[in-house]
Amino acid sequence: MKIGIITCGALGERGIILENAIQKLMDNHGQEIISFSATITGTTPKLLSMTGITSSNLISVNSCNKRCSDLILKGEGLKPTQSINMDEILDQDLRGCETETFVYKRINNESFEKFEKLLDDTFEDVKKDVL
Amino acid sequence: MLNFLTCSSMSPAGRIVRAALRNISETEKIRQFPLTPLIAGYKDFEEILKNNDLLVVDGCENCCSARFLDSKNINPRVKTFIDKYPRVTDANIKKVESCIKKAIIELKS
Repeated sequence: MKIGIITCGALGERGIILENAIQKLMDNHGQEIISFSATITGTTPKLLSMTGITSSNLISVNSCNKRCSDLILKGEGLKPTQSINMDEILDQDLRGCETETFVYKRINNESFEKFEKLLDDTFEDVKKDVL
Repeated sequence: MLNFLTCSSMSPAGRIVRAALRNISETEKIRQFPLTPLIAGYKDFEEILKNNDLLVVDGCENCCSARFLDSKNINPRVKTFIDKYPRVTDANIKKVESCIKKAIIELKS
């Protein structure tokens, strides 16, 4: 059984941190993961059931306190076994989705590393229970 | 100010769109919206989208963004989708940048 990773659609500063963490996770565990964006999950919900993803093998990844990924999954009747949120671990005050301009250079390495570790640790936790 | 609503997928196609827009933001003043808060039901976000001229860039022919906006009666000024690319490469990012720049010209005109 694979583990489903559903990511929110963050763009901008949060988006690049999210992209980096997902890429690293896929590089290391690509065979054990199915990753979808919350967008495609919301517009094509059957994708999850088609690929064997249920609440018990599902990780929801949110980039801010709006928790869009959680809300979209809830709308499909799914309660992820684990849900993570970038806002809860980063010290940097990053801009939200509707912001006018993003300053990518101001994102520090610590932010990239912290979120990468959070995603990796969460995956390993769920993997212990599921695989 | 150009307002983009774009594919926010983590697939190669989505990541190419993101990278292309990051490059474009160096020379154009742009605001980028993902589709996710709209699907999640944030009404304030829906109002922002309704009150701005949008340029929609979808990452593949599924056109999630354009289709979902349609279901909410939000009519973008310009809609475009890019070909599906299997890999994130500099060459593919440049191709998409060029495609988005054409859409920007259409929006400005």
